[in-house]
Amino acid sequence: MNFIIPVSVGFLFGFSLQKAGLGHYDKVVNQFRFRDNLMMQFMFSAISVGGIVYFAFSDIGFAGAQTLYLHNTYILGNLLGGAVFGVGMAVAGTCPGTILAGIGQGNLDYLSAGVLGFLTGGLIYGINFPFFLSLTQTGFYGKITWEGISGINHWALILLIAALSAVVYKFASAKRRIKS
Amino acid sequence: MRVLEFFKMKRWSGFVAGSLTGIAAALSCLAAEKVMGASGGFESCVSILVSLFNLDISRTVYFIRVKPPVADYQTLQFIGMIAGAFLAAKFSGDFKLRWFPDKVWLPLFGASRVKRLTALFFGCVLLQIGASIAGGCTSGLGITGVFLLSPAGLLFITGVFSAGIITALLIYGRKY
Repeated sequence: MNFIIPVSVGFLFGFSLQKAGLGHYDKVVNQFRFRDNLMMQFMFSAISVGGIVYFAFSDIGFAGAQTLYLHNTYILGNLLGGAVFGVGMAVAGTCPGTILAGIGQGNLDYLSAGVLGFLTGGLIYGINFPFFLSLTQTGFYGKITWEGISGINHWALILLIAALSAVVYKFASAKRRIKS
Repeated sequence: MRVLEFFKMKRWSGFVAGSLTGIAAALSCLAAEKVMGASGGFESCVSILVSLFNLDISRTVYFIRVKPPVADYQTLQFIGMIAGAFLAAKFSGDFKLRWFPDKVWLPLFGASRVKRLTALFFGCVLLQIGASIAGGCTSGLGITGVFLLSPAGLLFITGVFSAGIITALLIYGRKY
């Protein structure tokens, strides 16, 4: 299997996460406390730029079959999984991507208890797979997109997402100033 | 010279670092037809370990077909991520061996290593179970899923932020 692409993609991702400071606990938990909107800024920029780059190239035929990598939508599971994830993120102050950035910058807690936690979580999921799979059956719609549902062009949608995220970011930052 | 200084900067803004991450995520879809993510890599690691120790559970459908015991795309991506973060931290002098976070955690919860490792362990267990149920994590669903216009991405982010804010309120209480 070709390893050059995943290693390069990972390198760029890990480098950026660390440079933004997201390998640090405080940057992650302070987003949930709205004391530091760095994570929001990082994610919104990644979504907007990623979408523009992706659609610019896929429109001229550079992307293979999207069904190969498009996520499945299953309302209960996506929401519930996200909620369990959110509790873990606020407790741990990290997530699956930022833990690797943290390990790279020398966080020994991430390398020990953190990695052990992820492996244990994966084992619990694997052992109880039939049960967890049943959670994905409620409201299962498969590989759908907002474009397919609404009939609105993907460029209009990605620009709408970019504009909306700018508004949310402005709003959240204004609220923080009042607080402090 | 200018370029070198840019790489030595201690912090890049979320706009710069996030935009680069967006390019990496788009490249992953375009060049490899794979999603840039991390939670799937941990699932593969578990499968490899389970098969290495020849546990009974390794002979179930999940560990044979759903997550076979091979170093897949995201596992290889881990190598790049750790190397990238290591170099970034080395460049700016942010690299340091540390057992717990000196900001927010230390002043609020003290210097107990057991306390930090216990909280981190259980937090990470929940992170992996949640990501596996949802079908991705902050990068896979939260970034790539949203820009591919999948409703799953938005549902996931809604779940993460609602539960994350409530949990932070409970943990920090009056210090929220």
